[in-house]
Amino acid sequence: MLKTLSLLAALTIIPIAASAAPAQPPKIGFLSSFSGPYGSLGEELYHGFELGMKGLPAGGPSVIRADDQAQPGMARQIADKMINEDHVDLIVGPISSAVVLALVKPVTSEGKILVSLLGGPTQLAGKNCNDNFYVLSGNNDSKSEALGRYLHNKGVKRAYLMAPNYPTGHDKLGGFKRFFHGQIVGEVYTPFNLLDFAPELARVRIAKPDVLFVFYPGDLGVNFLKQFHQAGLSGKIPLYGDPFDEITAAAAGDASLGAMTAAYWTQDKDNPANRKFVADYVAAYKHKPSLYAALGYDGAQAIGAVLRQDGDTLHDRAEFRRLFLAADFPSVRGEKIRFARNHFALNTLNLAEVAKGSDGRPTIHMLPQVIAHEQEDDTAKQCHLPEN
Amino acid sequence: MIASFLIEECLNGLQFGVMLFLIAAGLTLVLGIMNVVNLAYGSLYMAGAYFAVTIEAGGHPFIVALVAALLGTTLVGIAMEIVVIRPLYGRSHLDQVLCTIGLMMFFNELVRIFWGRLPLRGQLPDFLAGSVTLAPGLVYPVYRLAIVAVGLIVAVLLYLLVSHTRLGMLIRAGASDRETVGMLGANIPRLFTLIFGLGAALAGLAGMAAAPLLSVQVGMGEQILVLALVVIVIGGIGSIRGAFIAALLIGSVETWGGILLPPALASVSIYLFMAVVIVLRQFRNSARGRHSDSLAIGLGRHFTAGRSAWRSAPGTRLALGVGLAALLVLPLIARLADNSFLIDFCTRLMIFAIAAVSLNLLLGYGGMISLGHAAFLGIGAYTVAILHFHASGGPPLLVWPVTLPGSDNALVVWPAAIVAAGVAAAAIGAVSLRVSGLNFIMITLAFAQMIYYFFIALQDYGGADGLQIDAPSRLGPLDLGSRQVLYYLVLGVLVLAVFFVDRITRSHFGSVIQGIRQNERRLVAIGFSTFRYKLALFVMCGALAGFAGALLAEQEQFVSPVSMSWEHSGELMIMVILGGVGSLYGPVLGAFLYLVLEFFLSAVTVHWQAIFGPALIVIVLLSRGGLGKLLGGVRLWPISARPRDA
Repeated sequence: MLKTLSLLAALTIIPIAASAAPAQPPKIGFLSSFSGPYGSLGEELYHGFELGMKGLPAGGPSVIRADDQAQPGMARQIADKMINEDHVDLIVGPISSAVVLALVKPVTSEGKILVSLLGGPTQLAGKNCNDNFYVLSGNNDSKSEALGRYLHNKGVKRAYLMAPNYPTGHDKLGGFKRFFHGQIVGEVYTPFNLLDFAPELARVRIAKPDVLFVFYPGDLGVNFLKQFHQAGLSGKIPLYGDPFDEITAAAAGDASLGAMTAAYWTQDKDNPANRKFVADYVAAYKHKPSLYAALGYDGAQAIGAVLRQDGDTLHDRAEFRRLFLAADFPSVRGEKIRFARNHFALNTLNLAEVAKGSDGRPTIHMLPQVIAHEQEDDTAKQCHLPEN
Repeated sequence: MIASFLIEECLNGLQFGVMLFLIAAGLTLVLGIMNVVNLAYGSLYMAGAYFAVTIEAGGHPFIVALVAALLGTTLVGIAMEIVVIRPLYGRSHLDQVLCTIGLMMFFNELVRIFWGRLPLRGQLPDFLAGSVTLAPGLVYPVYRLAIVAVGLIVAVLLYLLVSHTRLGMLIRAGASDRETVGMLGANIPRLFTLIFGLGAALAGLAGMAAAPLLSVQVGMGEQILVLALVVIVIGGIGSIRGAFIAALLIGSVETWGGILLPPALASVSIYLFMAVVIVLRQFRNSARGRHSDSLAIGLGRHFTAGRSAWRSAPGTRLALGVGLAALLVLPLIARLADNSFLIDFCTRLMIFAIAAVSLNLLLGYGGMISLGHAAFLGIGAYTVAILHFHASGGPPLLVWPVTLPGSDNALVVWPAAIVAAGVAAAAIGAVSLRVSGLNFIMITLAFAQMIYYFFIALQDYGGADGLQIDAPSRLGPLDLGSRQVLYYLVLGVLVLAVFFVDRITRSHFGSVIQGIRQNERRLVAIGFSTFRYKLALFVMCGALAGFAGALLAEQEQFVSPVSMSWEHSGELMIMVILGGVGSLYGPVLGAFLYLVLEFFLSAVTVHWQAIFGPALIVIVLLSRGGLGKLLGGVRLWPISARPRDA
């Protein structure tokens, strides 16, 4: 048996040894969730990223991708492989906040760069911020804060809040409450593994709040929207959520119509870069892009903008930092991306609603009303890094 | 107002219960009558939902979609039975578990390839959308009422089928004594195919019913599978009536638990409920002097104890030496190849090998199939992380009755991890070991799920996000932050663990344990207090897994509740079965092979599970008892799997 074992060991060593030649062009590791609860998000992110990379001149960076299965332990192992075997200079793509939290230390302490396209955990926004960690989407609770402020200013009196019982859920509802000072008639953290929301929705119906604010990402959001609609509550209780995205809206179908959210990007955001992106994306992948595809595209463009100025900059983290934070490229968000001192992106957020798109399918539709010009918040000011 | 709220919640409980019944009914038929543990059952549920949604999206009327999806799922089920399940009838439940997990992976990947990763949208036909007013102030969705109606109709039809038809007679007779029914001239293979098809149709129906309520996506089956298993264990395996009652109970517990209990407790309410039911039933049965297991799942009867062969085989010692030497020089090779990842990867392999060795001691030698072993790994890891957290700037661990600071000294945190896991094992074992068979599998799963959700609810220690460790533990002059040091340390622990298991199995204690596995009643009859022996073994294995967990925390510098989920317990079990249950080095080989395959296949293609799943099935079907055997490996006892139905 152990003969086999040693044979096995030998077999695994040979290809590794062969691939260990020093890399010349910059190497990027795309580490994201392609299976597990965020599998669909990871695929969209990657498609967007792939499309954005095509805009780079030939001889650009090589990209290797891997699936972290949304498991922090697996992500850590793959990051380790990417750094020590494939010799990548930069890792991009993690989705789950738990994965981001698990990756920051090992990646940055090995002298590499970590760019999160989506997960922006609050724990890394304040005094635990890191000078080689960047978040292109923004802080996890920024949309919740904006919606809380908007509803407060609108004069809403009674709000009912719901989220799954895990740290991001607490983050989101905390963000909402920071700026909403009306009455909170219910604040419910549902069990992590809840499939049927009907019992909770019956309580909402009794409480008769002016608005219901929820955070249910991914399949939880689909389940919630379907059941909210079937409980006969849509149209009766205004529903606000962070985030409702193109994937949940399409999967929940007409049940999602009328739900409100905040957005810095939608398919119909009108600017030249976005029009080109949506058209290219549809041509390449045969469906309209989601927010995640847009984030992947912006991520590739941002890194590309840095590499255009200095093709070798991924090895020099200080130089990368300077160029990345100032990078000016045609973002699909329609404006130059600003960063707070903690390297989290700051966005202009519009009110948005779920409505039928041009193809008749529910999608996110941006409304003209701007509800937040994000500025550095108190958390960001605890970060020791210099202001940009 | 309050009255209509209460009625509405009762309806919700009933509706969720009925849906669980639809899912559990088919599973309990297959498990009870065919004695097959089919974890791929969730795939049939998924297939039902995907077929229905796809056909409806094609513009066909609801009824057409319903019938076509039912037929489609039935056909998939029958194909599954003929190709994979049929060769498994005579095999141990462990083999069935491994094969059906392989099937589950395969189907999940197949769906990803054909339908993509995005969730599908399932729409309701107009006549089922909307709500009706049942009483003033009580508005209820039509669709949920329809599910209740369909569930009740299915329950009645199944009752009529089982108790009033010839097929039902065969089913009932087959459940109590298959061999005799076969000898009386019934065509058992055809009967089984029929039952499996019927089970598949029920699963498909459940999937279709769930499609408008839940997200239609890959993995939807696994969410529901555990719930269905809970239902059939509470209801009694093979009993349709039991499944019906248990499903309604679970539906109510889930509904009211969500309303009345804090979320952390609500997450575990059904597992708590199951554990209480199993233990109460056990006490009642033993008070009546009845043997509790309707279905004895065990390895015992598949083993014939042989003499330990490995000492006498000269080639074995050579192989062992070569393997050990390879592991010893690996860091040098890695340095030559400028690839430090290789060291980290192998360290991880060896840590999981230690966990697999501990599970094998429990499962292979002790015959106790625990589906909650990852919990001990997680407890060990969390002990290290929590002590570090308190040592590095956090508040003291304990202020009353004595002030206890945290620690970052390996000589403190590792023993603490071992003790914590051992204590947890003692508590879990003291309850779980009072039952056996499938009940034991499910109760260990229940406890592991409770621990998993407990750590998710621990917001102070990061909750679901997990907990960072700032720096490796201190261990005298050794720097645990160095890859090489940690590698050799883990290698040392692995060698010691294997040595420990070898000594244990050849001790007096080990003989008693193996005796218990083979025939517990006989040992009781000759005066052994078998419970104490089993508990001691359970604690030992838990503690060893806790040590592995501590080492994992040292390597990853991070702990997360994900590592305790039942899927990870299942992975550990796969490693053990792959390598060969009850063989000394099997689990080490199994852990290596599993992780290497997973890692390299997933690097080759994102659809790696479409290769890995069938590979598992082929290995199990060909090897009869693990890879260790297939490759001519070393085992302490040859497994002779006697076909039970031949």
